Amino acid sequence: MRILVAEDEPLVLKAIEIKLLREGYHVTCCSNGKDAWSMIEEELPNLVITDILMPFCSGLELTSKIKNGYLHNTSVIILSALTQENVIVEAFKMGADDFIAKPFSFAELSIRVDKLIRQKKFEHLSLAV
Amino acid sequence: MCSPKKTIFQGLLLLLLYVNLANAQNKKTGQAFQTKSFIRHTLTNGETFESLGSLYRLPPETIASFNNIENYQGPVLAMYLYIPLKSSNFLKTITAVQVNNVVPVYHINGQAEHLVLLNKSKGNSSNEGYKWSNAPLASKHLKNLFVDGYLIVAGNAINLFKVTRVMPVVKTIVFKNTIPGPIKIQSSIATSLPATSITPNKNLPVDTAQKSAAITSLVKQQDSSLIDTDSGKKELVEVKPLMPVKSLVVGVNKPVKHTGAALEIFRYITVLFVINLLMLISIILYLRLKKRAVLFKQKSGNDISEVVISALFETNGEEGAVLHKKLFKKQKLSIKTKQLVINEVIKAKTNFKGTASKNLEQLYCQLQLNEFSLNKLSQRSWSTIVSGIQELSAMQQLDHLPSIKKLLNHPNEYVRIEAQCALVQLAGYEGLRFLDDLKYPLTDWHQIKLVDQLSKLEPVESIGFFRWLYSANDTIIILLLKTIASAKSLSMYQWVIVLLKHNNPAVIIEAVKCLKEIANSDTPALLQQSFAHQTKNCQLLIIQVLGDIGCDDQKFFLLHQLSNSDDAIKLAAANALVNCINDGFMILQEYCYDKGSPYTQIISHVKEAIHV
Amino acid sequence: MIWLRILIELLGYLVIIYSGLFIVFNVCLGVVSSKETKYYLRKNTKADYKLLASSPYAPSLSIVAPCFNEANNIIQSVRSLLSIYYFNLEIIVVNDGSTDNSMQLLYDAYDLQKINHFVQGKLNTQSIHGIYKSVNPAFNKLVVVDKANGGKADALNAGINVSGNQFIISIDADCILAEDALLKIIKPIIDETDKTVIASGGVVRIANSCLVEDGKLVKVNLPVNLLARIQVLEYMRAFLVGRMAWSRLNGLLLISGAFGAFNKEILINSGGYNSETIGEDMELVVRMRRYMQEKKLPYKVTYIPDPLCWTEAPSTIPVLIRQRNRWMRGALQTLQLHQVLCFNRRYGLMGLISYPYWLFFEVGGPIIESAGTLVFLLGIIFGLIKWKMFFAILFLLLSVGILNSLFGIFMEVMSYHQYKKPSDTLKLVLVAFIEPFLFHPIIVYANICGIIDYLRKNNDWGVMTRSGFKNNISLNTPNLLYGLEERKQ
Repeated sequence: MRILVAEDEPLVLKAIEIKLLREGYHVTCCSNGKDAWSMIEEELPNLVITDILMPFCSGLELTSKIKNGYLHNTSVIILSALTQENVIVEAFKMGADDFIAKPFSFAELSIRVDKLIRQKKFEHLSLAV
Repeated sequence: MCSPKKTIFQGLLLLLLYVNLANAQNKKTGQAFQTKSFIRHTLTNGETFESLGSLYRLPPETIASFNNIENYQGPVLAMYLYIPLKSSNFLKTITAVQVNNVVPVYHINGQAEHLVLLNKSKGNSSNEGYKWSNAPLASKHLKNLFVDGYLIVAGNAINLFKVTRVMPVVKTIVFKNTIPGPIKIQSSIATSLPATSITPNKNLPVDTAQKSAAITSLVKQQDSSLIDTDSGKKELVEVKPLMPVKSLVVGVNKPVKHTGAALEIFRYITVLFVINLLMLISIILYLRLKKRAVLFKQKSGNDISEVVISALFETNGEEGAVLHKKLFKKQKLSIKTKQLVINEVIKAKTNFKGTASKNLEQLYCQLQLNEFSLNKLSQRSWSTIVSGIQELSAMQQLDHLPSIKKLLNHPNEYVRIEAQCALVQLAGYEGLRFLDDLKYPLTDWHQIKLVDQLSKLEPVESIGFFRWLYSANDTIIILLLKTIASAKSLSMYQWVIVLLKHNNPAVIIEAVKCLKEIANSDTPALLQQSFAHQTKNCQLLIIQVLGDIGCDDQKFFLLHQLSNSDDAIKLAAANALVNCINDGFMILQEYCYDKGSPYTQIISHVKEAIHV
Repeated sequence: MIWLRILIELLGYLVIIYSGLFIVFNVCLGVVSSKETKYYLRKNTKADYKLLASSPYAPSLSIVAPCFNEANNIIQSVRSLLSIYYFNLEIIVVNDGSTDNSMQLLYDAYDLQKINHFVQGKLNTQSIHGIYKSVNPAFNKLVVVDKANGGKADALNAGINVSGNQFIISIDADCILAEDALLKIIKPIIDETDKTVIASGGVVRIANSCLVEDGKLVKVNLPVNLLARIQVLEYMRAFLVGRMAWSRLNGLLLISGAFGAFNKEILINSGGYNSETIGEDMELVVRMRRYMQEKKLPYKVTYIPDPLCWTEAPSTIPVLIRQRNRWMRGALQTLQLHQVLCFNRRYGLMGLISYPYWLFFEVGGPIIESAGTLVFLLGIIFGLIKWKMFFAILFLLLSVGILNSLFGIFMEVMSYHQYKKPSDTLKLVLVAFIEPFLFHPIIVYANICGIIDYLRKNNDWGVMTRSGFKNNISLNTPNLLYGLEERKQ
């Protein structure tokens, strides 16, 4: 399972990477919205975890790009410190599959990631059937 | 930097240095100028450089150039001219041959001339009033009377002096001199003065008269031909103390002492040059410091983030401590490193919660950074205190809450604000008790911060919110309303509705916004009632809110508002109609049918909104 | 001959008095600005600006970006604006009747669709052809207004009419904004309790030679072009020293049109941008301030020193001259329109200090300098120059100028230090030394051209514009001369 993490804070990026690697995922990291998009197109990850406030292209814009294009099957988790109701609503409007508010705990992250991945697998299976 | 630019730069520096040197040299030349002696000649009608030249036994061009005048032909346009004293017209001592056409030149080392009030009693009535005087002249200053030398004038022009001497107090000859060794005639004057010559003169005030008498008599001794004692018109050779050349001199024919002015300016330039240099040095020093700080950060930054990340994933605190000690070999961290670690830990702390966050707190305490932050609270600089408070509150150091509480009344505004925020962050809703003693308005920024912190907590209503809703400080009410709205505390409803009658429009607007969040079935009617008394902005807001919370009951009210004079309210009413009422759009269309502008635009605007 | 002599003498004194005042003013401004900058930095380095981006209680903003024939970079600029995250935001791009394909480019790039929008604003503008929004939800904050050409002020007014938010951020379409620009410019507005902040201004920095990717500044470089490099220094002086101090004194008369935030309500109440003027940005601020003063409302114009807005500076002399000519005419026009302010106690600090400062130093400066040069040349021809004096004054002025520049660099290094390489800073120091010789004469020339153009045009307008102000300016020197002549006689 390939996961792409887009986050502009190096410390958080590193920590998430370590956590997900320990869980056994294949992880790609990038630190801004522009790189994230080109890497998504290149690596076709199953899941994208993105921050909202990033250079070049906000996470919301990235989400809408993913969800409105040929990559719409990719799951998106938004991970942001912007936790006001309006932001969360906007995020889901853009097509995000899940929203994790910062500060977040690793346990929460790994459960949500796991759930989404399973869900995707299930969808694939049901489609195949 | 490429070399030619460097050369130019160095060249410019050298130039500045040269200016500095030139300045120093100029000082010397300036002094040289000052030792030149001259007397001041008051011009009378018809005098030309020619006549002055023959009078003072000088070539006319010398006088002209001494006064910075090029053209020495034609009339002289000036009040005074300065006559240089040269060997051709000035002598230190005289011989018997020259005695007929010399004028002695005196110099008094003493006070400048000033006005004195003459008493009636002292003399006869004609001597009343103010007169020019060199006041305490009498005995003391006579001792300082010098004869500096003798001005030789053309024999046939000697009468001219008499003419100018008629006015008793007009300065006729001023002598400026720094030539060392003037002839002192201290005691000799006193003794040589004939007793008769000191008697007061009718036309002159007492002491001036005495002075003039003294001088007159002196002159008489030296050169009797100069004085016409019989006519009763005493000559006054006005003698002034030496004054340094100071001010810039305005005027055309006076000698403009450029060197003096230039000297002053050069002095300023030197000062500026030194400041420039200091500035340059400080820029360079600062660059160095900054570079060093960046290098330091780069060097230790990786270690620090490694420690922080490892701390995030720790399961056992003990194990971690060993790791930290390994990474920071030194037992004690430098202040700089401590600050860097704190910054990094806080950054991580804002992003993680749960075990990771607990681990970070542990790391913070293990490295004794809490002591470091606590120490900041007792510093003098307010910004240090603020950062100390921020660190402690970010790291959830509940133990240090009392020391933060002490800062609630700190004289600095920002310390207070930060302490208040920390209190709320650490103690939650309980921390809001600081509002009781608040004497200042809360800024919007502060409110946003507090509301954000409170929104993350479960509301505790037991502390009696409502008492702050009636605070005299309107910003506290607004803060409370925002908090209620974000926490959706329905139980506060009854207190909030009262605020619709508040006299500050800002409070009412906030109350309406708040009511939107905690509305019940009565709210629309209530808002509708209060509508008429509100400001335009508030009315607009009420209509917008009605669009969100209203029901069919509001239909007529909103339809009525469609004819409001304000276009913004019309539009809002139309939007609200469509939003909250079944078949709202149909009703709107019916109402607006055939009404023309602006209703057609409003209809199409609203229609668009529905489609989107 | 005698007249020339008098002229030279007089000018000598004028120059000395003038430069004395100039030095005093600059030192004061320097002290004030360094204090204010230090205070600002201490106050805001630890502020969590991100809070503002998502808070529903933060003020709502409308960015208004007028553009006219910007086909080259319009897509990039709008891209840069869209990457800004702020919750309560709308981005209004006003196409001011461009004759190139800007509108088409926007239409294609952002999937625009014409909407029926009811424009509520009351400011008079040229007719609006249409209002467009993007179909793509990612660009839902974007509004494009297509209107008939009417100049920048007119385009801004149209944008204000369309805007539905509390604050207007006016920016030039060719500017590059930092991501946190909005948060930083809006913070001083919500940091004030007892006064209404009517406008908040930001620093304009020079983006020549900087690395820009997708409308975002990636790397800051010192411009390679000498002219642009000198302007970097000039902007440092103007923004970091001058404006910072004026903001402390609450005497700011100009908020750069390239990046500024305005309270919409007061903006509209005071009449919006004046489309008749050349320097609409300065005119607006002065008018808003006048409005507040006349209503006797407590107000403030704030300014922040953070490097937030980057723009391309002219890199050729003719373009530079045209730019400065326009600035000068704009300033003159504003000063003339609001001449009632001059030394008027009713307008407080603005009338007593800000306005006269503009009059005497920003406008009077070039006049005195050029008059001085002229007389100096005459003096050389007639051999009347006292060289010692001349050099003394020359060096005095030079060292003051250099000191001023160095102080600007010092402030930059102390505060934001954008040019990280030490060699860049040294290059700037070098520039400080050559600027008075290479650059300054050009500026003075451009300013004088501006003044002449302005006066000439004024005469064409006829009786209406005959005013005391004009006399003040054009007859400044002759008046004094005449006075002296009388005294002499």
